[in-house]
Amino acid sequence: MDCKEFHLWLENRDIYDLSEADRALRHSEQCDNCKILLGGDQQLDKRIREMFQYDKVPDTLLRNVNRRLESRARVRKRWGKYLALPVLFAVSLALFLILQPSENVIAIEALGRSVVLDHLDHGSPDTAFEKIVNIKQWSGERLNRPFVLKDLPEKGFTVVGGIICTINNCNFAHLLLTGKDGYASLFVAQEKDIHCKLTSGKMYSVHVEGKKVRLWKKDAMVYLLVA
Amino acid sequence: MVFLRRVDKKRFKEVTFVYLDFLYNVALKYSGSTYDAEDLVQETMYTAYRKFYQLRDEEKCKSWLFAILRSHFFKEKRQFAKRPILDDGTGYLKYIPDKTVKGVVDSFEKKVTRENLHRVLAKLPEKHKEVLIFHYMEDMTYQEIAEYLEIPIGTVMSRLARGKQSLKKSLLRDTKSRQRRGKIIQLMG
Repeated sequence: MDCKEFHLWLENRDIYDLSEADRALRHSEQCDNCKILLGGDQQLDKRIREMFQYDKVPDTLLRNVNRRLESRARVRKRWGKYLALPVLFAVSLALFLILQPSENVIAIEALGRSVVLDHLDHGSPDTAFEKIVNIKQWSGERLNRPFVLKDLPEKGFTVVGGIICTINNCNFAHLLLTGKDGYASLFVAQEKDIHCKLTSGKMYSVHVEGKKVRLWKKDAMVYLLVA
Repeated sequence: MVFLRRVDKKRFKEVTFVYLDFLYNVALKYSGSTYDAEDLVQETMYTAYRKFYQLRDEEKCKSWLFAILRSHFFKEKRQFAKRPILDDGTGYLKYIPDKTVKGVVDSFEKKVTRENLHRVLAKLPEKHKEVLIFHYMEDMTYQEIAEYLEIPIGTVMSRLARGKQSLKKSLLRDTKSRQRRGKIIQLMG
């Protein structure tokens, strides 16, 4: 290493490889000028390090920081009571909106209520139900859409008879069934005629006047069992 | 809903106040004045208090506080005096007036003061200033500085080399010009 290279190393030590330091130190041992520069640089570095030592923190700092934090707490307390009411109102409103039943749920409940009322009025053999031999044929003739009784949520029902009725301006086939717990009604209509949406394969249930209504959809037909 | 968060003030003080010394000294190196440094620390602590809930790992509190302080400094930099950035001149060795060990040491041992340091630091680019602070004040390794500032270790090394060059050159030049001024005043006197 020559003096020029040594100067470059001395001024850029941080980006040089450590092996360069050995070469530089060897050079400085042989070159008086470079040795002096190295010594001077080390002194300068030491002095800089000393100057970088911590200054004493002013006594006022801790007090001022504390005061600043206190003022924030006070501001928050003052604003807190004014903010609490609007926040409470906003949260309540949001909860109210979130918990509001959707239009579809309301329509399903209304339909459930209507069929339960019809069941309570006519769900007994006192009503003039037609005798049904073949449900598929009977429903094809009366409802213009044949259906079969399959996949009922409960087993053990026997069909007593059927009648076509109008509920909420929609034609329903009302089948009177008898089972182990007495009479039950099955209402069947075309999906397009009712005002709510049901998902295939999903069983819905609504409780009205102590009666349980189960609703489901199959092949574009909607079934409501009141038991 | 930030305003609904409750900060445990006692815990906040326990965790953060131990770093007041560090923050003040970094702020002092950044701003160059005790007044500005105090102001910066107050702002930093105020912000830290508001965002204390964001501090997940209390082990990292020091670097978290530093990041807040640095961000405040850059945000409010305009409030501090605008200073020109140093030219990229090369070496500083030529500024050593007397090429003997005694001469070199004498030239800055008594003349280079903390005021010189603050004045010179204030003129350095921030990226150089911060690595110098961590190197000289906190005695951190390259690796530690890299982790602290989240920059590659190579960048730390090059910034440190450039920063040291600029710092030493400015300190020596500053001392030299003061010596000259001193002589002129003496002559005039």
